[in-house]
Amino acid sequence: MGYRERHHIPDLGVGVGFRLPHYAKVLEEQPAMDWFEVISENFMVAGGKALLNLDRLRARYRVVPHGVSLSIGARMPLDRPYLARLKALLRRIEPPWCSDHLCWTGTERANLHDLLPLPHTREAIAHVAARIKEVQDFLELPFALENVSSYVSYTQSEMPEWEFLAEIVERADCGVLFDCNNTFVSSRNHDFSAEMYVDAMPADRIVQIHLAGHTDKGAYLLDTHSDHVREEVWDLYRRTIARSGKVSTLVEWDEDIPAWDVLAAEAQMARDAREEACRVRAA
Amino acid sequence: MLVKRLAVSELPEADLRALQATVCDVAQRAQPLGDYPDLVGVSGQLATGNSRLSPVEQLNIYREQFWLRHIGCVREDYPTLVHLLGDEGFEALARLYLAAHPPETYTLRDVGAKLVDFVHRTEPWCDDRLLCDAARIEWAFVEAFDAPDAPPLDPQTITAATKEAWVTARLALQPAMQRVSLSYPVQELRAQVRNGENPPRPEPAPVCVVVYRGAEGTLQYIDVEPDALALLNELAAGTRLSTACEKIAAAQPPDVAETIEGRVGGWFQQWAAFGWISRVDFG
Repeated sequence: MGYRERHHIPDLGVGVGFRLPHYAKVLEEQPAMDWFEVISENFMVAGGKALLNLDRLRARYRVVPHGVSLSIGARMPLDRPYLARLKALLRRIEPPWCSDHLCWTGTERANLHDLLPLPHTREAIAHVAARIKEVQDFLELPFALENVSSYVSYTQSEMPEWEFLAEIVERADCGVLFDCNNTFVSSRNHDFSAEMYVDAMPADRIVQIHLAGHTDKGAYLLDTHSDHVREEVWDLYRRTIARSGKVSTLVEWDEDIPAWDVLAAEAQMARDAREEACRVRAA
Repeated sequence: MLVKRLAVSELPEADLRALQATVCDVAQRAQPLGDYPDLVGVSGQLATGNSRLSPVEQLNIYREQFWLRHIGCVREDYPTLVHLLGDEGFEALARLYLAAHPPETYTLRDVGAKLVDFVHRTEPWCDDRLLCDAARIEWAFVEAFDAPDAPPLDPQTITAATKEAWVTARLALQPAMQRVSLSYPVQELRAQVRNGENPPRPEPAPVCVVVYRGAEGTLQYIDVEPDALALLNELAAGTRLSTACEKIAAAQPPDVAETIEGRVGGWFQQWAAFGWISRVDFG
């Protein structure tokens, strides 16, 4: 039995991120959308309007939290107060899973608030897998690990990223939040095959997929979530769905956020691509 | 720079902790990493580079993002300071501040938490009372935004209380309420700046302001009398209502002191209507 089946992970369809410019539209007009993702840390607060908005969103839509600050790869103790706040948020939302990134964000001395890549080493695999188990046990909820966009490749790395990620999720027995855009960005930045990465993913562990746009900076691609999904990323998405089957998909758009209708149209493109990929899979 | 810098000889071949300490250090460097001759060796030992980017250039992407992200974050929290200092002036302040107080917690919300104190004690900004006040009022709004919720006062509590009971009464105030005493009317300046206006530098005019959360978590502010602010501060510190009133009266000329009791009645009604009082504890 695969990971999704064992943990009763549902296919929520195609959703979008719940972002400030669309709060009024979404909360007042309640437009059609399969589900919403919220950035966990924005709602891990004691009180106020953020939680009121979250409760209103939750009353109408399925909501899944996605974290950016767990720092699962940091070589320092897990942030217990952070985990307690996250757990309180999960109790409020009651999502089918939660997620964060395969990265580290800082040290005891400073938090860079960035999704910094890890060296692909056996030391890091053991470290991260053990911490994910600890996190899952504490949160009492399926946890999915997302691959990040990266701009540095470490001399210490002992294996390609896809082997690194696959080994961690296998050892930790957790899910994968597979980000097609991050895969494409990193493949260009580090000269590897994005298709090979997709094909190496444990398909039954993919509980969610991210789609987003990026920015071409010339010597490298930057993961900006500021534009439409690029055609190469749609290709990776169809390839992923052809392996995994229908998996909850989320369109991220966090900078230069367009009008709601543009974002909703991008989500519809993802629905169409999902259907197309599934037809190919069935054939 | 507060972060310990690792020399090349200190970087073990496969030590995750050392790698993260080094990346954390270089990401916080003030200047482009190419400006630091000592980093060429460290970068080459850490990163592989590729045909388009050297190891130094790969790591410099994270340095650029560190400053962009955190200066942007502080800028968002302190638009009145941006207005008063101009873009360049504010960036100079933000860079010095972030170098002195690197982000420590998991949330970007806390990044600007020490800026009020920094402005108050750092030249040349500490010499300008208007800047100090502007920083204080901005952070008061941040604090009010996500402070814990508190239930509104139950009117039964008041109507059922005897006159004697009030002698020992203590008032619990809305946790979101922020009380600030200012030399300039920066609350109005802030409102104009937030409204997209380009207001001139105001003239000094001492004012006491309460920032609080109204219906639906909306942030509001109102000017209050200095005596009312002093009383609120006493009550927030846990002083009994009767003792607090006596303290306020004792600080007044006799003719003014006699009016305190009557004014407290009016204040109390106003504070209850605004939701500033969440509970009255008798005994």
